[in-house]
Amino acid sequence: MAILEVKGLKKSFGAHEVLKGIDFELERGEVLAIIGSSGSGKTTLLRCLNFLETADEGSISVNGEVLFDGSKESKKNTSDIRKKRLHFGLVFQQFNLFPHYNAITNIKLAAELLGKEKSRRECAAIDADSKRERAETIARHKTEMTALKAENLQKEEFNVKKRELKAAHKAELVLLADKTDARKAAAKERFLGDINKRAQALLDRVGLGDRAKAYPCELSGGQQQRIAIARALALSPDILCFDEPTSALDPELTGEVLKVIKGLKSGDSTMIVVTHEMEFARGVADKVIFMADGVIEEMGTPYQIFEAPKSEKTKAFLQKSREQALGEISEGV
Amino acid sequence: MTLLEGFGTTVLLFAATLVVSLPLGLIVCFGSMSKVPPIRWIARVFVWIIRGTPLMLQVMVVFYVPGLVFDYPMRSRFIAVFIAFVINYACYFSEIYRGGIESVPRGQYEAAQVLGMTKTQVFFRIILPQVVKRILSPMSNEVITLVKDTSLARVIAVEEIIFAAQGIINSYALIWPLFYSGAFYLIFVGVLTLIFRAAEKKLSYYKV
Repeated sequence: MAILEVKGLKKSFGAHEVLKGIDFELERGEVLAIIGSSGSGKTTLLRCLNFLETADEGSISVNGEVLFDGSKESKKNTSDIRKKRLHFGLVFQQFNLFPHYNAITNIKLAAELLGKEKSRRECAAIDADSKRERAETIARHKTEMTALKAENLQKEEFNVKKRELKAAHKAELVLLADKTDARKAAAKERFLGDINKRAQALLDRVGLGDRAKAYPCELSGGQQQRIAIARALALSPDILCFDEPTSALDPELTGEVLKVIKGLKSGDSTMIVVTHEMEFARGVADKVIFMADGVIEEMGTPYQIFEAPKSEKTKAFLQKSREQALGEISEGV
Repeated sequence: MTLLEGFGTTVLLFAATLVVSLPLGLIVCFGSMSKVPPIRWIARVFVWIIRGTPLMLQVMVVFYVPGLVFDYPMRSRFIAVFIAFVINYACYFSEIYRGGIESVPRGQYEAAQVLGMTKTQVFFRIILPQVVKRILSPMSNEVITLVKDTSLARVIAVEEIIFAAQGIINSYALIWPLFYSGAFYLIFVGVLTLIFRAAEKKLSYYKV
C-alpha cells in the first residue's frame, strides 16, 4: 500500500487557483522530486501536506489513514492538526532554525516537549491507577481488621495479632507506593530517556557531531540547513519534505546539503523534494513530477522525464534550465 | 531628610509601576493583536487615547474623577498616581511588545508548528525569547523615561523628590536640594543603563 496518497488536491488564494487538482502516490522509501518553474504550485503543495495551508478540496492519506478530506466539514481542532502534522517533516528554504537555541537543542526541543507531554499523561494515568489500588487495599485492610475483632480473642493475643496485622498493612502500602514510583520512573525513561542520545546521533548523521553547542549564527548556511534536516528527522516523520533546500545557499554549499539528503535515501526515508537542482533530481529521485500552472504536467521515472519527456511544457522547461546551467558555467569561465 | 523621603516615594512609584505595567502591557498587546475584531478595536482605541493625551492629564483625571463624578474620592494620592502610571505605561509597553512580536519572522512560527508544538509552546519557547532580545533597546528608553516621568506625581501633591526639594527651597532659601535631586536622577538612570547594557551583553550570544 502506498504510504502517501494525494487525490484531487485543490487550493486557491482568493481568485487565484494555485493547485488545480493534484493526484499522486508515493511508496514507502521512495524519493519524489518535484520540479517546475516558480509559481507552479510546488511550495503550496508541500505546505498543504504539512497543514501550513488548508487545501480547499481533495484528500490526503498517509498509511491508509485519511488526514484530510475536503469533502467533509473538517473540525478545526488544533490538537488534531498537531497530531496530523507529525506524519510529515518539513525542511524550509530559509532553514528557520531557532536562533536562540544551540544546534542540539534545536534538534531535540520538539521531541522533548512531546515526550514530556506523553510522560505527564502516562504519569497521571499511573497516579489514578495507584490511587484506586490504594483505596481498594485500605478497604480490604478494614475488613481484615473487623474480621480480627469478630474472632473475640483474649485481649493480649488480640493486641499482638492487631500489631502484626497493622505492620503487614503498612508494609503493603509502602510497597504499593514504591511500585508507583518505579512505574513513573520507567514511563519517564521511556519517553525522555534517549532523546539526548538520539539528537547526538542525528547530529553525527548530518556530519556535525562536533558542533552540538554552536548557535545558528555561528554556522554556515549549509551547516544550518543540515541542522534543520536533523531537526525534521528528530520526530521520525513518515514523510520528509524539502522545500527548495538549497535555493538560499551559495553554490559551493549546496553540495554538502545534497549529500546529506542522498545519505537519507539509503536510510530508507520517504522523501518529497522540491528542487531546482536537476542533476540532483535525476540522480536521487525514484519518481519525478513536473508541475506547471497548478497541475502535474508530467510524472514518471527520472529517465522518462529527463531523457524522454512527452509534454511540450516539460521539454521547454528542461531546455531552459539546461541553458541556464550552461550559462552559469560559461560565466564561471 | 524630607529629600530622602521624596527619593523613597520616587523609587517606590518607579518600581511599582514597572512591576505591574510590564505584564499588563502584554495583556493589552494580546488585545490589540486579537483575531476578534471588537477586542482588537477596543484595545487599539484605548491605546490611542492613553498615548494621545498627556500623562499629567491622566494623573489628574484618575485622582479627581472618582471623587467629583462618582462621589467616591480617592483615598490615597499615591494610589491615584500609581494607577495612572500603570495604565499609561502598560499602553506604551504593549506597543513595544507588539512591534517585537510582529518582527519575528513568519518562518519561526511555521518551523515550530510543523514540529507539532502547541500555540503556548510556540509563544513561550520560540517567540517570546526572541522578542525579549528585539525589544531590549526600546524598552530601556521607555524605562528611563519612566524614571523622569515620576516627577509628574507632584501635580496632585504626591511628595516625590522634586516636590520635596522645592519644599526645602521655599522654607530655607537653599538652592542645593535641586542639584541633589538632579544628581539622584542621573545616578538612577546611570544604574539602569548599566543594567540594560549587561542584559544586552547577556543576550548577545545569538543573533535574531
